[in-house]
Amino acid sequence: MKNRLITLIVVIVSISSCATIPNYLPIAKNIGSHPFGSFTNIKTVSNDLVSGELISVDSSEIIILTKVYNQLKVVKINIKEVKNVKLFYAKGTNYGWTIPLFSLMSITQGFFSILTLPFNLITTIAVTVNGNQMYSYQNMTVKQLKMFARFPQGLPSNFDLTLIK
Amino acid sequence: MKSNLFILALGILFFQSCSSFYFRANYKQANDLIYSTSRLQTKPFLKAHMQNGDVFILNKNWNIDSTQTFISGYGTQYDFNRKKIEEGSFYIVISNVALFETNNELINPEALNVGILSTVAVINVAINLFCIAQPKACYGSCPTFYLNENDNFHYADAEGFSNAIVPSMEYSDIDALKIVKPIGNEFNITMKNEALETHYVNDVKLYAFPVNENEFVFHTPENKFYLCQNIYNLTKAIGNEGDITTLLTNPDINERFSLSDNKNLNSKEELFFNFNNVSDINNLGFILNFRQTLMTTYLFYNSMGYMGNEFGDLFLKLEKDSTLKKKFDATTQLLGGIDLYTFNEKTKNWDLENTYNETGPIAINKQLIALKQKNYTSTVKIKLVLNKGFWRIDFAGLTNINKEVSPTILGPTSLLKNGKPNVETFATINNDNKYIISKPGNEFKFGFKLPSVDTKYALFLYSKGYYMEWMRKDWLKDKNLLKLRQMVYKPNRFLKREAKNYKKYESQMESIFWNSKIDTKSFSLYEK
Repeated sequence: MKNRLITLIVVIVSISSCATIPNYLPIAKNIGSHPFGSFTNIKTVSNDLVSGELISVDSSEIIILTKVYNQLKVVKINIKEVKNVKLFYAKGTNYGWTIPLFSLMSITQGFFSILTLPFNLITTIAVTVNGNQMYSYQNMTVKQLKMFARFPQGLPSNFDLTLIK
Repeated sequence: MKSNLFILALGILFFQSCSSFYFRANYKQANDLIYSTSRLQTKPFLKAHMQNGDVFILNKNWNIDSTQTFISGYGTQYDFNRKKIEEGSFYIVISNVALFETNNELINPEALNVGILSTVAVINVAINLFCIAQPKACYGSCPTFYLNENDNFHYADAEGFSNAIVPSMEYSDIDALKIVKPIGNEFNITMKNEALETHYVNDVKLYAFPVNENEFVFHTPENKFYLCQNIYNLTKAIGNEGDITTLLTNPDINERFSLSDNKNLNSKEELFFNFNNVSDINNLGFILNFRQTLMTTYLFYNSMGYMGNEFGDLFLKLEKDSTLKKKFDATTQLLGGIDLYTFNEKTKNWDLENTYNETGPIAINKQLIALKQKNYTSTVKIKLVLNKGFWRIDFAGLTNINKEVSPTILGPTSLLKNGKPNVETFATINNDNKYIISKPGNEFKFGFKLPSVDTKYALFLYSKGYYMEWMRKDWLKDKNLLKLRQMVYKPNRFLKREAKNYKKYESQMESIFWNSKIDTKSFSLYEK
């Protein structure tokens, strides 16, 4: 039981600390002065996941700057191929440290730990997950999504996408 | 009407050229930007997305000239790859701007998370402070046994040798388990160490009695076993607080207990039970499901605290001095057990039958006292005399005793230590001269083979050993040898003087701890 609990805590801490939100995103108070597009996870109808900076959106396609084997690459996704989109516009706050801290507090509570340990685990996991996902949107319309691209106005005319970095 | 249409048209135009989503807004026309930001006291950062892909990010003092030809302000220009080109004051020609973007500042976005964590932190710190102030309230004692290894101590099925606090006080303990009809003949029970103690377990056995439908086996305080049938439920039960019948009619962990007397911990109370329409008044036995409150734990931990840094020496003395050993638990001896009386219809007196007494606040004991008195009508009247605030009673009933029976005694056939087979420990449990040493957090799963497959068994757990309580650093400051002396030699005076202190502990501990059960698992004499 104890081992299972420790494993659970280690897994949760690992998951919470290796969330896939990239460093280039601003902290919440700097969203107004951040020049890049939001980070986007796009799941296609064929269940492929494409993640990267949202470059531009129009009525027919979404353009993402993604990383393939550490190389930046521009990917075009047909709007009809998109199953769902999740967008992160700022860095989440990592509350993962609260999971071991509050669990340790429980361990020193004797009898009470039987109640406080699950309570603490549930609340700190919920807060950690919420903290990671806090600055994100899902189920947006194309028009809304467009506003979070690097080029919300659309790609400049005759623009060479291979120059994008 | 005309003006309304005009406003509507303006509105439609506005919403077509301006889009917003939560904190972000985009404007194609400078006019819309002016309209939207004119009432704001503090302007937001402004992003001017240019037709060539560049972006200017102007800080909060930007302006649009009256002819709406250019926008001025201090900020930074980035190219299409968002490489910084220049920082300074800019005059941007509006006709080159493809889109304006503003972002409202997020106000206290973390407020909910911080609020939740602060509340949880306050609760935890309060409990931690309580445990530091009252460490004796937060820790348990003795090995606990579980039929379901995933249960916690709220649902412990048995607790072993709670009084054996030094090696020479080792004794064996028998606890009733359920009536089971296992699938196959395998039966497992898990022993846990859930406290800051070291347990020395000499023996664990299973006592099995085959039973038919509507037959039960109960054991007595003297460890005799009786085969019984018929369970008569209470008709009426009265305590100082009034009618307590519903609390005691079913074994559902919905227990009756009272609070201690605030002037003297050694204060008795009486409970009166009536059983009407007892169809067979011959060979009656009284069944009681009971356990102690946390008063015993409090007294025991206090005695350890009073020993302070002389704890080791005094426990050694306790081990060697048989007179002291007898007196060490003088307070709990004074608090006593649960005395059972029956009403004699001939003499119109209450006759003392026997006493229930089993140490431990965790597992519920299920015991029977064979009634000696025979002068009943069809109504049987019972009285229990017990110390206030010392006992929790879950069930009271009458039964008819058929005969005394002897168990089939089964030793473990397998053993897992913390989930893994352990040959050495298995050899230990089958050797009378050796002990399994169980440290905090250890779990031992004992496997037994029942004699036959398709039989129902009433099972009892036999455990033998002793345990050593760990001294806590926090308790050292409580050293008070005079109090300890009073506890041992003047227990009556001690129980009077300690009443107020215990009340503080009792009001917190009893209500918080026991009422904080997540749910009430109902259980019956038969396993479901």
